[in-house]
Amino acid sequence: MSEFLLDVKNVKTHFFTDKGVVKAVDGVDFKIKKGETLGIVGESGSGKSVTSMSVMQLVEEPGKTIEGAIKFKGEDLLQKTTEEMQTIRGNEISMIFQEPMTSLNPVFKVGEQIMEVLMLHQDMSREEAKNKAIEMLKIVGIPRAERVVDDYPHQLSGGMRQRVMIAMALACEPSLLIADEPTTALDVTIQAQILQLMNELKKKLGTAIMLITHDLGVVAQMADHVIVMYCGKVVEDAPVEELFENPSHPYTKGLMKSIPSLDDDKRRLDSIEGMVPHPLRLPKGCYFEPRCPYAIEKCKTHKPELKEIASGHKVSCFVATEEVR
Amino acid sequence: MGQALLEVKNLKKYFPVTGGFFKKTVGYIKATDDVSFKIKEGETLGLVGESGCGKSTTGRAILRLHEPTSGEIYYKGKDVINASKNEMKELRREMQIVFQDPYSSLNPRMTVGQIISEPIVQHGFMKKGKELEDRVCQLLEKCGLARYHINRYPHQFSGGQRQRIGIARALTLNPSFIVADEPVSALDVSIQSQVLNLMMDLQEELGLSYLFISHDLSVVRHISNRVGVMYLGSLVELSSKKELFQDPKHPYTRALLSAIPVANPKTKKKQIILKGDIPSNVNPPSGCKFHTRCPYAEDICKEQVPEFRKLGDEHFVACHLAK
Repeated sequence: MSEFLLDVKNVKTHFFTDKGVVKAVDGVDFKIKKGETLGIVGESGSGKSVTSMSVMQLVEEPGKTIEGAIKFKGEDLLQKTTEEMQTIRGNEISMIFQEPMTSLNPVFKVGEQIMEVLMLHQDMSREEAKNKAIEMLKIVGIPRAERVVDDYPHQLSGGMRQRVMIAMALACEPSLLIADEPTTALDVTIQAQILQLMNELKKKLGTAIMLITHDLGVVAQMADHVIVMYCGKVVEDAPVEELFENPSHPYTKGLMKSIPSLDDDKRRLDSIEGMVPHPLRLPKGCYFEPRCPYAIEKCKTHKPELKEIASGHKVSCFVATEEVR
Repeated sequence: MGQALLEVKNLKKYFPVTGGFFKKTVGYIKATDDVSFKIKEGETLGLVGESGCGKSTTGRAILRLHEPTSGEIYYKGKDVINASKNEMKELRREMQIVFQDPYSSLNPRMTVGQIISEPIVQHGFMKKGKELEDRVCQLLEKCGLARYHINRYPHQFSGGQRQRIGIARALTLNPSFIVADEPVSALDVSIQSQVLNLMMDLQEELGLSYLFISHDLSVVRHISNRVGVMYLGSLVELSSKKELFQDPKHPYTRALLSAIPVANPKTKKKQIILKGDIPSNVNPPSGCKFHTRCPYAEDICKEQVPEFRKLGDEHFVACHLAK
């Protein structure tokens, strides 16, 4: 077994639509160590959620993971049968979603929903499962957990629901937690509570986290390592401090400059011109070339590949890699 | 910056809560509860707060999109609340709104040209024809879109472009005041900065005043001259942007500022993590509404409603303990 808990190699997940093939995830590589937090950053349509769905193998028709390997604890998830995947999902790898209201079942009590996972994966009796559910609700900081187990999702606030989702996801003590925009739907003061909770639980239980977000602030606070995605490809891959100190891909640079800062008094924000290209009409060369202020001739015709420019820091950009050389 | 363009005094908007078989009113949601502020000409007042704090209701009540329960609103000295239907139509030429969701605020069955020209025709400024088309194209170009977009439908545009259409529509009647209700919240960061730049350019060019409503403090800080912070329907702090961000007085403002994740992994700032959730605004806590979550609360906070006091030059705070 390698030192990596999750080793994703050259994964391609394409959607075969009537109008053409949408390459939502197109050759993505990344690794997550035990107990580490990997941040995946990108804007809407960059393929970050499809990447997580590919790991969970929850990609629906007409999408399909057509190439690559997803090694979890040394075994390739893409070779597993549906039944085998079911024993892994929710047990060894679990997931929390952006919208806590739509991902909880409205007609079941929250306790029942947590108990279901435990009875299915851990063969617990109802009573054992209920006790464990109450314990989990206490761990995620829900007051009066004994009463809340018997509440329905609509009786809880957004922050509480997200805590229930986290309790459910962590009930079986998974080694990998995939969090897809876990705090995007929440208010800042509640977001701060949830992020603090996730960090505490990571320390306590040693869970690795794959954190998908568009918020660079959240990434800076939570992640150990970051990948930046654009149009289904990883454009930059670096340890978190290196990425923020030395962003090298023009897209990453642009993203960082376009966030209004809390202690800077610039009148105009730098912004990235134009918009994300249509997934069926991607540019021939580098996908970022039409919006890139540094583009050279080569960028229009050739696709750059990820190259290491410093220890652990990889960039896919002709200009950035040439500067270094 | 000149005199007060808009003055809001003790504005209240309560929504009835009905229950039982006969839909009797059993209580009120105090969405906006006694809010007062002024906006000067050419100024941007930012209004921040978390969901349910009443910031959007306040914005809409000013335009009487929600009929206010009580209070006074004056626009250029004219009484807005008691304006007749015709007077209101006149006033709405000058007071416009840009909505949050660019997907649901544009009619999917109308072309961009129809969407933008509708207010002009409605108010009887121009008849359909070449002149109108030129005006629409001019507005499109001003907002960073192209002439050929005029015959397209909203679904053919991206989120950022739709928000530009929403802004162009708000500008059709040459307003002087715009309520911008979370105009960039639905957009990606790289697009968000484009729209913010556009709004600031237009302000400079046309001398617009904005009431800029957002939950995102860094966006509000960027665009506003003064900022008001709302909690459970009331303003808790109002001051110039500089003072609010450098020297916040209200404990809620402090917690809100410290809760924003900073895009720099090296600054491990000390966060004030508030306990618990926002209470319901049907039965808000007694005294200071924030006392249930306030780390400094004392006995007086549970009993007496704090006054909205002046603490410095243009700096107002509703807190018993703030100095």
